[in-house]
Amino acid sequence: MNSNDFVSIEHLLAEISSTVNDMEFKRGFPKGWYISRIQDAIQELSIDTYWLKIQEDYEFPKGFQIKMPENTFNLREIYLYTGTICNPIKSQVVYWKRLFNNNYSGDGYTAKVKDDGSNSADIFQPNQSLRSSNNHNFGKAKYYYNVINGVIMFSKDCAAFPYVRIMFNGMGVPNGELPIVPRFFERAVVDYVEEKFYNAMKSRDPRTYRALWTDAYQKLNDLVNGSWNKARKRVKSMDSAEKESMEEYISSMYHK
Amino acid sequence: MTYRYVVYDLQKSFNSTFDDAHTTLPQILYWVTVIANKLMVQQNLVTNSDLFTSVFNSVEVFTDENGRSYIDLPTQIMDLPNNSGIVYITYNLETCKCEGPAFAQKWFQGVNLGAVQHLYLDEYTKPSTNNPYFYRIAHSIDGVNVNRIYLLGLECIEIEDVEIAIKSTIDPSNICDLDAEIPLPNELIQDLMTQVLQLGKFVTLMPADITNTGADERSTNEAQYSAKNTTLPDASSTPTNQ
Repeated sequence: MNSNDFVSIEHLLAEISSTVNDMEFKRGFPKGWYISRIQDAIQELSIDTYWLKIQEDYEFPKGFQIKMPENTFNLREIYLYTGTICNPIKSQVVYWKRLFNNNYSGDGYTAKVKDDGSNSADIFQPNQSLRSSNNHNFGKAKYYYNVINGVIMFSKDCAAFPYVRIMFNGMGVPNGELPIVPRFFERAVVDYVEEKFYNAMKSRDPRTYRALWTDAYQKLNDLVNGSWNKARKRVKSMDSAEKESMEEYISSMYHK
Repeated sequence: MTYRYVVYDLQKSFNSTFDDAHTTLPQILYWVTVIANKLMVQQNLVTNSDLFTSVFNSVEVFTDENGRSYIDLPTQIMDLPNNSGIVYITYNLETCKCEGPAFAQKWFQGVNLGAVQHLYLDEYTKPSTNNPYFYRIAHSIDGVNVNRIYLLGLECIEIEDVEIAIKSTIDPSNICDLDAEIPLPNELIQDLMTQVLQLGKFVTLMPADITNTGADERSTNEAQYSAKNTTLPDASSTPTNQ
């Protein structure tokens, strides 16, 4: 589901601090500890659900490499394009190529299968250049990338385009900034922080807090009614319009 | 209820019971403050009301020889868990009255001195002007007695004063007027008087146990042992073989 509605940190803190009876933030954890746990919750939900999408546009790098920006994971899409950043004109999808490596930058690279089939002397995979050049326009420009240790490496043909657009998934805001919490995550975030609070207090006073922690853990992680699973389902479900379109597409595809 | 009512009433009771004790008015007043302080802390733990809260709008901020900002506590405070004797400390500046008072927007959070280093481990708990803290040093620094609140997160700015609300106790040296109100709810005055009478009775009886009457008051066993000791054979004498 898509949404552009968020809850404030204060709104969350008001509920959390009341539930754990720490409204004055004097039970051993400062206010920042709670905000840090809220950020943890959003980070975990982001990694679990891929809900946060981040777009970055770059001029094509001279070294054929771009470092993945802070706070991102999981490449979703890569495009090369002409025109300007504000007005792309011609675009080209960039594909992933297994075992491609120009880790030291530049247009030279290693790969198990070179794009011009130049490993024809290989006794295990011979004659690739002959086989390739006869099929599917193999000799034309090839646009691909690979990632090693967070560095995105591009093939040399990609340099024909002045700009590159990359879609990532994000892990919430960078650490230290106020977390952004979508409204449909509110229950999960509140329950997550409460569970972490009781978990931490458990080591101080096990007799009092173990029972509370068990309740909080169950409320968060119950497979049917747990708020964490509900949040995952919500964010992964399609918008109604998307479902409608998908139903129309599937229902008509064999009957035209 | 004023100190005068209570103190004179107690003095009358003491004089009628211990007529030769010469209990003085300042002495009873001191006992009243001692017991009242105890009752105030107990009452606060029960009700957690702000009956004993005092607000000081402008407490001057000083800097010590190490460049650390601090304030001197303006009065005695209750020593409650997690620095709860300090209700809040906030900047003495109303930045946005529409959003409520300053102490509801930005306040200094209490922390134990030993836990200060832990705050710097996390970006969200790290002290800053937006996220300030305080810790208390109430014994001595370099041998000099202090009662200070140190402020964390103000290293990059200078502020002149702060507003502080504290749960205060009675400082016996500050009672100059017998007609001042005792800061206790009226329903606790009976407890106050009863406990002061008990304290007075205890103090009055104490001297009897430490008076030297000149009589041998050792226990019987001790006296017997001492006598037996003189009848033991001399260890230095050589036993004879028979």
